[in-house]
Amino acid sequence: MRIGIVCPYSFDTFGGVQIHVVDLADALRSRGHHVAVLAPAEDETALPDYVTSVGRAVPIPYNGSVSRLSFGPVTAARVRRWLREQELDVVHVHEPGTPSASLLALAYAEVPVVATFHTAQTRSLALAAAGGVLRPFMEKIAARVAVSEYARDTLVQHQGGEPVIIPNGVDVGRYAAARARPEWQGDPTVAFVGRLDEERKGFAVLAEAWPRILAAHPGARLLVVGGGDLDEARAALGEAAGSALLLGRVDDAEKADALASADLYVAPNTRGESFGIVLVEAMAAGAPVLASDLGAFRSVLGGGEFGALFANRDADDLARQAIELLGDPDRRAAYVARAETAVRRYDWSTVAAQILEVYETVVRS
Amino acid sequence: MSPWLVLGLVAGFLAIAALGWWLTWTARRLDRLHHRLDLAEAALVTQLEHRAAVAGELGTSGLLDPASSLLLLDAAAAARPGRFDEDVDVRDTAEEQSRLSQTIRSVFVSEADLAHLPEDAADLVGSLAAACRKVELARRFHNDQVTATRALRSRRRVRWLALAGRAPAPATIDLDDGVPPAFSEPGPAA
Repeated sequence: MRIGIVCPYSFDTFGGVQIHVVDLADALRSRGHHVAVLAPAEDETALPDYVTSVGRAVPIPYNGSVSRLSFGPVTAARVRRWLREQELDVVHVHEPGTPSASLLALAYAEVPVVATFHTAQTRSLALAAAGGVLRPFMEKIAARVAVSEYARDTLVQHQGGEPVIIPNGVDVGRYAAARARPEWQGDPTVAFVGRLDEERKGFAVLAEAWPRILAAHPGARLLVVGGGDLDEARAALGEAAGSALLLGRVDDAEKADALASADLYVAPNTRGESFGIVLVEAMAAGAPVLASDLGAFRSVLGGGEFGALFANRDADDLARQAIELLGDPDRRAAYVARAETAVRRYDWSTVAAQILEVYETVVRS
Repeated sequence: MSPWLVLGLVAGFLAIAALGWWLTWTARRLDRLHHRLDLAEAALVTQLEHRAAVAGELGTSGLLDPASSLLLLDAAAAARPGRFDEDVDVRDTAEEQSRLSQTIRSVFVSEADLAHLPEDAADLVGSLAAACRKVELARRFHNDQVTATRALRSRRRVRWLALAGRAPAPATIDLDDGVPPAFSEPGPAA
């Protein structure tokens, strides 16, 4: 099949949607399909040969945050040329509600269009207000996919209908093969993954709880993975900073090893998560998970079956549950065992097959 | 003629032209929606046909126990859209399609049922599982198109000016397409 995938966000930075698009393209290519990807990117950004740049992206505030998007007549002409040259059987656009390459591809495509909605825009004023403007394009979509129940609920609320849920994919095998690194470990080890300077990743909540966890488990080590101001992060930990190891930004293999080194992975994210891929990665790496009770996290953790949940933004509850879990290896082992089965549905082998079935349903045979 | 009159006439002409363009554009949008609706319904019929064919093949393959084979064969034969006249609406076969879904669910109740099957049944059972999932997808996608088409048809300008022409009001296709839990996700080998 000749498949075109369109990403609205610039390939100069790597966010969840960009990673998803590249992984999906690789998974489909490995099954022998022709895959072409269209995305904004700077000229000097190195791109895989199947990715075409739609031009440079401009940082612009949209829907409550600043995104790097591409639009304008030149971009529109490039989208049309790409569609014409690729002779696709199906076009798969991501986040078509974002005013960028995806929306343009949706507008110009003459073949069936599949659309994936990633974000749960709970306060999506922009989308609601633009509903009338977007409707002529949205009604062109032959198949709508949401990445989580959470994302689907928002979509149904705004547009009705019955979108299909297909989760984001993870290379489960790669995380399962990750190895603990003794030089990173304490007794026990607690891991955090996420940018330190993004309030919504919740490092501050964990930093507040950490001294109490350390008091109960004096040998504990806090393994922090993620970029940002490391000095500021140490300052937030105060006297307990000595027990923390801040790795800064690491590559995927190191992130996997960090998760595999953890006796407990804590996800204190406070808001804005529509899926929680890092929870799946932790589960695949064999780390027991303690996460804030955001809708998306609750859903990935099976309502508490595959990991523990604490009250969002509540450092007391986080500390209490972390102390309890670190003192209860049996309960942690039970979470890990159940999670190991549960993550299989997120493996790219399953997810890519599901997406292919969607393509096969909408493409005229 | 006074310049104001000329200006008024030009403005009036432009307004009528813009209105005309807008109405034409709406009519074309509707036309394309109905076209996509036809495609979505044809896709669902294709998937139903395929599911019945695979279920029938599995029923005659001798890979299942005789009772399951007979049940599957019977339900599949009744559900073959080809059995009906060409101009029969797929909605009129909903009962037969739902019964096939129910039969498939009662033959493949759980993962345990799959484990008891002979090894060489894996391919056909895998095809049946994919066919069941695709029926569910195709019906959802069709009904989504119905929702979008109805939304535009309910607009005042469309109703008052009968822009939808003689195209009948689209109806959702309602049938039981529930996929057995054991079939709910493609296996890694799919």
